[in-house]
Amino acid sequence: MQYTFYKIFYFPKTLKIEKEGIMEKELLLPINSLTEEERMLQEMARKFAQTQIKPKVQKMDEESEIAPEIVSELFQLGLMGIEIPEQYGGSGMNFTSNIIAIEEIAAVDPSVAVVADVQNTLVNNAVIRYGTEQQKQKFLPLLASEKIGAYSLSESSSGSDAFGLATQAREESDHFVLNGQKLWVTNGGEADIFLVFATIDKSKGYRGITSFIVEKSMPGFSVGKREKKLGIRASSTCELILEDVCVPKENILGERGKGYKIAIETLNEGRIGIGGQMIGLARGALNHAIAYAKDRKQFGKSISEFQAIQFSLAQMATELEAARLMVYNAARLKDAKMPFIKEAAMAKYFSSIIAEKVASKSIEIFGGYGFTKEYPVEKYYRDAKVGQIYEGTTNMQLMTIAKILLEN
Amino acid sequence: MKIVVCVKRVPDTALKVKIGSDRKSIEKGDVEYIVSPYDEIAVEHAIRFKEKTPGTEVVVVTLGPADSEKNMRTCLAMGADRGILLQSNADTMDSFNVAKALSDAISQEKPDLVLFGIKATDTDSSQVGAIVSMLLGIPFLSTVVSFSLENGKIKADSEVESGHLVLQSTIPCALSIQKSNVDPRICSLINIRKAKQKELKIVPVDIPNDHFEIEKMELPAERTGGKIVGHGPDAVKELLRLLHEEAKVI
Ligand SMILES: Cc1cc2nc3c(=O)[nH]c(=O)nc-3n(C[C@H](O)[C@H](O)[C@H](O)COP(=O)(O)OP(=O)(O)OC[C@H]3O[C@@H](n4cnc5c(N)ncnc54)[C@H](O)[C@@H]3O)c2cc1C
Repeated sequence: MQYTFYKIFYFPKTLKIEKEGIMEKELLLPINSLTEEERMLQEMARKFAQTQIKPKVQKMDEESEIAPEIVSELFQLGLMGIEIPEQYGGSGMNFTSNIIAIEEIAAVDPSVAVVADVQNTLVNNAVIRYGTEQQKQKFLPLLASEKIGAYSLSESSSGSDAFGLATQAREESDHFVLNGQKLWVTNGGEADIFLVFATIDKSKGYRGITSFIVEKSMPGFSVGKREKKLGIRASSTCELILEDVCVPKENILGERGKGYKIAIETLNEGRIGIGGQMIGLARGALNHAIAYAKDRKQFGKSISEFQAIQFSLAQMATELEAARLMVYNAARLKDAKMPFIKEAAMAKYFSSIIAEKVASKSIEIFGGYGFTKEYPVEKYYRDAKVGQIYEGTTNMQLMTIAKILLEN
Repeated sequence: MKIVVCVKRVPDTALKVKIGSDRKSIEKGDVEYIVSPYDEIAVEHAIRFKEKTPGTEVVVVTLGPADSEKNMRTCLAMGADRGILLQSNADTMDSFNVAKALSDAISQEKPDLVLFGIKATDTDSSQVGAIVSMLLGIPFLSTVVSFSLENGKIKADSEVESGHLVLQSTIPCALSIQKSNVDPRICSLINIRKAKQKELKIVPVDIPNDHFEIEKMELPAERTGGKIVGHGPDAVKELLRLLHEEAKVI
């Protein structure tokens, strides 16, 4: 953990101050500064969220279904292939760009954000990183343009203990035969391409875990029940059923027996995406609270004139700021290829707690109205809870952080 | 066809502006600048025309400080082919000076069509388009909501007080674009990336001193709540009195 001594070079730009043509100072810009392209992406994602997602949020939540036109627009705008290199039809941006997009979308609808998050930070990420050239040519253009991906690690009896999974892959001549049931698969309802983790030899423990690219059309593969959830209801969470599904060997992602590595590495990064979702969510809730506080009158004045309300807003904004800096710092570290695992776990841990707190406080600022579905804040509160559970529960984040702290 | 679209950066319309301590200008501190919404609609019209008419080139032109580049990139990401940034730090309010700088640059481009937003949302003066057209010596059709190219002429639908005019003009001509059901597109990430590669020519220009100066700038008066003067026919007399004596509208 030597990196704190390195010159920090992951900022997109330094500010050069010249005097009479001679450089006088070079200042580092803040962690959350953006490059020109990143800023344009932010503006685009914000416009998309505000104009197209916003009017549909309530209906999608009620119907527990993402609107198909939102999905096609996500693809159209390049938001489903943010990091996919241009040669495979993607947008060829950096990792931080995922976070920028997810944050903007989550400020309006955290369920739409998670659809893009799983696609970008887990599925695309794994294929870009571990795929063979052939797999990249086959799957990346589809993932960038029209096909939704899902990431299937968890099972009913293996959640935090992910590598205790039971789904089996039996080797036959030129293929593997997969049998088992997966649970909690985000995007399961809409996806065509699934990264499924299974064991080729249970006796080898985590060293038996292998990652397969499973296509929905493969015989024996089906999507089972869809969870009815507290929050992020427009994002589907499904069970997968694998009954003698023949998966050709060329669909193994990475090496056999090395699926655990893929799972750990992608989740280490994916976590920053959840951080992005949580800070977006908190910002969305806070903005509603600020607007409402200015508008609502009690005792003859706007409630924003009461110091108690002001302090509440100030505290929410401060905690959000801290969480946001942590998330962006983790993302920039990852882009700079510097150690980021501890920072990513901290960012996800902290931002998911802040998100719940800010959303909860926002409801209080709305008073009784906040508790009803007539107003948008109760949804942020419901959507926040899952941030402390998926991609590693809060306890798992704390374990990761503690492990690194105590390592040396 | 070559279309030039003139765009202006304006303070973000979503923000509340504050008057600076000189009481003559707005506080620039944390003002975000955007492409004036009507100009953005004009860019959208130009790009839609280009999509229907192969061989069309869309050039965006702006007059502004160096960091207007950011707003130009937005137009390029929407689909304009190249941009010209007439760079000046002059914070001019003088439409004639602005129009002169623009028309000098536009005349070198020899466009078939010049588009303007009907007005810039900061000064609302609706003058630059007309003055540029005059300086270029080309017809100016205002308040246009749609246009097409028919038999070598521009056919434009112009919104007037209580209806529509269908106008026809020889080319070259200039149009000022009014808001309609044409919404500016949201730029895709691929197009944002492409915009970076597109040509943006930066041309320093000298803007003469304004012919007039701002003496004072004021925000509109805060809206105060309504007043209920009474109920039923009995209230009419008091209402009339107030409208006459206080509001002075009758
Ligand atoms: C909406 C939603 C979407 C999801 N999407 C996906 C997906 O796309 N793909 C996927 O693979 N999974 C997905 N998951 C699964 C998710 O990652 C798991 O739910 C999560 O990892 C926790 O596993 P579990 O539910 O089995 O809880 P458990 O592991 O049973 O944990 C129960 C409790 O015990 C605690 N605990 C467990 N072990 C320890 C320990 N050693 N020390 C201290 N505390 C411990 C946990 O922190 C938790 O509080 C999703 C879940 C949800 C709710």
